[in-house]
Amino acid sequence: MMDKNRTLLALKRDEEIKDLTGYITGLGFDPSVVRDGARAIELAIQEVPSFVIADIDLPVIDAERVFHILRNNPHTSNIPFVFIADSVSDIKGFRTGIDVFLQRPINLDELSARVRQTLSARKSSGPGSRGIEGRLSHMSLADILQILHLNRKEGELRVTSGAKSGSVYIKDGEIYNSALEGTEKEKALFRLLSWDEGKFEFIPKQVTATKKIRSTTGNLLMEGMRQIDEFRKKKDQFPDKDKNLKSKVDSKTLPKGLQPVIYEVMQLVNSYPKVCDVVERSAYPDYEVYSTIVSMLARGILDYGSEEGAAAAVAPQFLTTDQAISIREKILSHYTDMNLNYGKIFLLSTSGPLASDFIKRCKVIPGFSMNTKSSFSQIAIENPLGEISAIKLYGGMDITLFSIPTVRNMGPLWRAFSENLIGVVMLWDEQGADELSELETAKKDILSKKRVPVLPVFYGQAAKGADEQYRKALGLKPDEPMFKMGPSDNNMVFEIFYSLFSSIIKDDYVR
Amino acid sequence: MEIGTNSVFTGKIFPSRFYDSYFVNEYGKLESLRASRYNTCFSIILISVERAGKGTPHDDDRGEGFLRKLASTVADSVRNCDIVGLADDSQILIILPETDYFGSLTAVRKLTRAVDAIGAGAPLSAIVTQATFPKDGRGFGELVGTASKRVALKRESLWEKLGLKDILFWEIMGRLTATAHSGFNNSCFEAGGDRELTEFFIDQLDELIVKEISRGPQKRGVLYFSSKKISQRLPLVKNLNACGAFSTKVFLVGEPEDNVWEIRTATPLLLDDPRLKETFFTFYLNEGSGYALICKENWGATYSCFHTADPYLVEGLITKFQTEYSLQEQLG
Repeated sequence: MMDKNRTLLALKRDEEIKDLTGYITGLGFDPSVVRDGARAIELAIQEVPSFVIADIDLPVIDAERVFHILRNNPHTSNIPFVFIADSVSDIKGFRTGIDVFLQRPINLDELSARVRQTLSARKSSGPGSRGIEGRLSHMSLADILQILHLNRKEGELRVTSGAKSGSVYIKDGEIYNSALEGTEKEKALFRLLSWDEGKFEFIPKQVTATKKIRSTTGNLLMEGMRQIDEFRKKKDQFPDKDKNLKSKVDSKTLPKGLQPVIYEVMQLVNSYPKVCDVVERSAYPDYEVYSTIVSMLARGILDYGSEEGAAAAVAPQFLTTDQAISIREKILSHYTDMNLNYGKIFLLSTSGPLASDFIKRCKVIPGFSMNTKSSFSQIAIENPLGEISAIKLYGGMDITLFSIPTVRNMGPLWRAFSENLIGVVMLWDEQGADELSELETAKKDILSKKRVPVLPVFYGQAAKGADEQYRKALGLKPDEPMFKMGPSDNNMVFEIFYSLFSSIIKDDYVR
Repeated sequence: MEIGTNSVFTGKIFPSRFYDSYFVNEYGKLESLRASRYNTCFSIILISVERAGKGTPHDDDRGEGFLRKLASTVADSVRNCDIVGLADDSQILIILPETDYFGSLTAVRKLTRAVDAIGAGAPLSAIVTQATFPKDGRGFGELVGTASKRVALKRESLWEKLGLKDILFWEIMGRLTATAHSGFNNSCFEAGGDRELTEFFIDQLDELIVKEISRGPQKRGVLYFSSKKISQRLPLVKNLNACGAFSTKVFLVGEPEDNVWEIRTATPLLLDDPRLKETFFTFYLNEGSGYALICKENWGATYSCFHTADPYLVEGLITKFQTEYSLQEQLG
């Protein structure tokens, strides 16, 4: 929620920082100071200040871009901006009456007057000012949702409890979607419904989120409350969240036509043995996942595994927030369609099992999830095709791994589905060395349409002289990296992705 | 205003509402600034007239006569708010304010029909392409560049090369599956039986399209999917049900098997055509790309398949299908 006294100063000149900090503090505000655009975005999202004062020429990400990013984020879209520049410049999306433009030298009295004017104007007419606020201890979330449903309201219902914060998007009184940390839809909504303590705030505004929840509000709330009650009753029967699971049967032997959650749990257990990981990564609500695990344990399909795996599964740090923001910015700046918040990496391999193995190794990456929703789950594992997994980056951006065949007659596939392509990973092993020409042809054709970084990854230990042979066959330049993935080299995937991301940030790849 | 903006040449071709390239370019630049300021879109359409062999289209009386007729037809076919003029000696440029990608495709269809009705006749030919702001370029020059590149691509498209626009839909389908294509844009493969690719591969391809739709649910597009029997149990329907709301228009073509009217994510088109029993297809067109898959079933559950990433061929197939089955003409 917005802190009325908090302000953000994004400036690069020391003397300006000193002058303005003192002056703003004197006006009764609590300023935070940052010196670059990336940090300004991060802090603005974390603290939601009452206004931002920004130098137009900020390093890393300039103030205009920071302004656009924050305006596109529903949490920060209402923050007024005070731009400071040496000369007059045209800022796209500048809101007269809300944002302020000041030319150097800065007159501090003018600054104060303009800020006060903006803040008072916002207070009287801001979209959030007519919202509803309260505490969950006084009124439950289910009651609020019913009131909003009956009155056919449109807007965002923000719920905060401690450090956690989630949102429910309502349009025409119907629940369109819900988001809580990495989860969404019913799963997020049912989690929010179980909160007893915390604050809520309804902000009437236009909802642009797509409708991802199909049930009617009445049914949804009934089902949610039922699941919460059942969950509380059966809590002792559910497995401990830190326990490890293992499957006792081959997933191929599962009969067809079972509930989809069973196939998903089975897939997830094979990749993430810990109960909490399975629950967290499944798209189904918590109660359904726990109940499925219990029934699969009772039927002997699953069993408890050894505890060593749990300790080994501790994920190392992957990207800092600053790095993730820079990557996201760079990717978005390559595409004119800013609404598509994802980047695609093509996985070209000489055999299906290689692509499958690479995906399995990627599971050590924080934010990585496998796309297990497939009507042909077993075929999809042995011979993956299309989007098979995704890595969640800061700001809701997904990096999807997209497996595509490399034989020439599959050319239409890589041409038709290369939208938002940001990189190519090529995989081969010694057996597939004869098919390197196919990899190279596919690579060439893909790059002829769109220049993106290419990362060649060899599986195994190459014999002497083979490296050069592979490089030649793939048309790699001497300074281009070639990765080698040993049988137990799980951390190599980090290096591969670091290399890809650093190429994206460093080079100016054009569309 | 029109007196000043019509050059002697354009005035000679078409007396009114047909501007010279200077005016069209200046107007286009202003339009791109306006669209960028108000965060809206607009499109341009480029009609390129070419003469096979050497020379320009207006080298002789016939060429100039054709250009004159073309200019008059185009000016009559567009809306009052559209700007029509010459881009250069052999290209007509139309600026369509407030028009998105699919709107411009509809205009291209309309203009193509109008141009075909005039009948250029060899050695003259006309190609109609489009570009939309901001997807295809941020400035007016960039848009014209994209539309010009598309002229070359469209000329290379199988749709133009094989002259498919003059052939019936099922004849085209037969030709595409019977000829061996092995390019990156158009290709053939065999599936089922003892082949390397199983028949499930075809279903996987359809699933891939659904995943693409669910990844960008706000992106507009059109998907035609034909099957022997349409039912709620089709993998494609199940996958669509799991997608949430999306903007792509999905049509299922074939005979109904169970209560198809309960399918809410797609529109069933109930066609009782024996040809749909042995050849099935998937046509997918969106703002960024196009993909079509045509599979002909042979003896022993084997399939001869043709697939393409050529958006002009996909669009042409969709247009033919809609026209010949008297369906509502819509794209996305």
